Amino acid sequence: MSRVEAGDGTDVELPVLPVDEAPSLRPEDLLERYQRRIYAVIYRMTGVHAEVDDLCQETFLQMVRSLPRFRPGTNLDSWVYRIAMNVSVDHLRRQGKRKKLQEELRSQGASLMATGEALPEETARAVREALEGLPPEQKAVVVLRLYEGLSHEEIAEIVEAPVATVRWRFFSSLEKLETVLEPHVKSGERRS
Amino acid sequence: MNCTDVRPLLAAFGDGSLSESVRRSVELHLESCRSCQSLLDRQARLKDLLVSSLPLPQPGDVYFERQRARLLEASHAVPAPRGRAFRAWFAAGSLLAASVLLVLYGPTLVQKAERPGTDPLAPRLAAKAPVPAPPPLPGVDHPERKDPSKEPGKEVLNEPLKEKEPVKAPPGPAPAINPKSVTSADPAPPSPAVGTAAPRTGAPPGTAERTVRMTREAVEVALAETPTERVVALCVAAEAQLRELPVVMAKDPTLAAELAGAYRLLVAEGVAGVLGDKAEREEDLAPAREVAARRARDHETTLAALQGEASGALKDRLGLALEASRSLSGR
Repeated sequence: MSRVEAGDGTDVELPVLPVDEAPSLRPEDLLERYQRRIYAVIYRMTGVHAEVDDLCQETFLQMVRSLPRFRPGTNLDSWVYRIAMNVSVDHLRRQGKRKKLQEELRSQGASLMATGEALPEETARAVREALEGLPPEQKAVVVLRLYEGLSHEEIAEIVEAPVATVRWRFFSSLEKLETVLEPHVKSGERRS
Repeated sequence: MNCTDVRPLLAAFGDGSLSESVRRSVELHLESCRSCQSLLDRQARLKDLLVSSLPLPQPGDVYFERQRARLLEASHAVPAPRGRAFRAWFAAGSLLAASVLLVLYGPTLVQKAERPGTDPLAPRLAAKAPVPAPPPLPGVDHPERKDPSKEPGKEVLNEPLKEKEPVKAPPGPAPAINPKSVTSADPAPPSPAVGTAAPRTGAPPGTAERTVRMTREAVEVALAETPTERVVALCVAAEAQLRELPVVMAKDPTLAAELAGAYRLLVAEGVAGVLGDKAEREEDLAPAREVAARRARDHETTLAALQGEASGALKDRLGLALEASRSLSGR
């Protein structure tokens, strides 16, 4: 979990942080270490750059508020991911737009099936909307696994669920995504 | 393994995140099942599509520098950890619950107790007393009432923290000092012991004077910064009940039982709640525990003596109060 894609697309090698040091971290240290990673994970969850700013701020302030209660022995990376995910999931739930998006996806999927071809920008949009159509808990697993490259065990720690549950959520997510994105997967296959 | 077993594992198989034995079982199944092999291939293509189609935007260094400045500014306006404020209000709420119980029901209970064959305490004290929300107080944040973090875009983050006004000591005569109880880590008046402290009857229940005194005690608890200060403030409020008990129990056992119930609430819910707060650091809890144990030992002497003189419902209530006290002193 120490090598991640940062918000600017570069990889950042993170130093190993002794767990007992966490409570003495200052807000500046937290930003230095996690700002771009928080941006990346929240962007993946929400898919809207304009919303990321507010959610980054909410995440960061929750971290600052919670840091005095950080328990030694807790993985700091997981703790940060957990806060960012909770903020994102709460946000998605508040939005309550999943149903609407799913309806849009169904109609869009039908039209693509009819033409049998999808342009790359259409594919990107479809992927974004397909992810937004997942329940927040499943989306969190997909984002952490595919985009953050975390193992199922690490994800289980972050979302506070058994590993088997995480595997099931991932499998279930892929099934749903495949159904919605089938034309795009096939069209990519033809192009390659 | 059959297809039903294998399919949920394929995503993890494709990531190489299965255990060795399970991986072998899945491999074995895949060798003979074209359907699952096909699903595995589709999943691999799907993962590629998901990753390649959704690049991160590149807002650039300027964006992150501005965001950093804004976040740091906002972080300076973050109030004391919410948990601490909540715990302070929880403690204050316990105190107020006891106060309200006495102020509102004291006179009523006295009247009801005059009716033969009724125990007005039984139904009310059997149920856990509700903890009412404390009233707004000057200079105190109310994080449980308005948590800006739950309303993105509505946060008031740049307001400077308000300085807390010093709280004056509750009115009334200072209790007699028990030298055993005084240490540098115990900043509040020590606990009284039966026979050494002059009983203070205070204002009768239902009066403005009583309400003011109890509200001040609640403010003391709410503004306490450390577990030790919170414990001391709660103990002071509990000791106010103990001081009144010897005078009240001779005249009005029903009201005395209420006082014993209020004491139990303050100790069992308030002090024990502060000491059991896992979010606090051990080095902060240790002195609080010592203070609580020392004061509880003094309380036990008082309560045991009072229980010996009491009978009926009052004796039972004093027994519960004694039990709460012993749980703190470790006896």
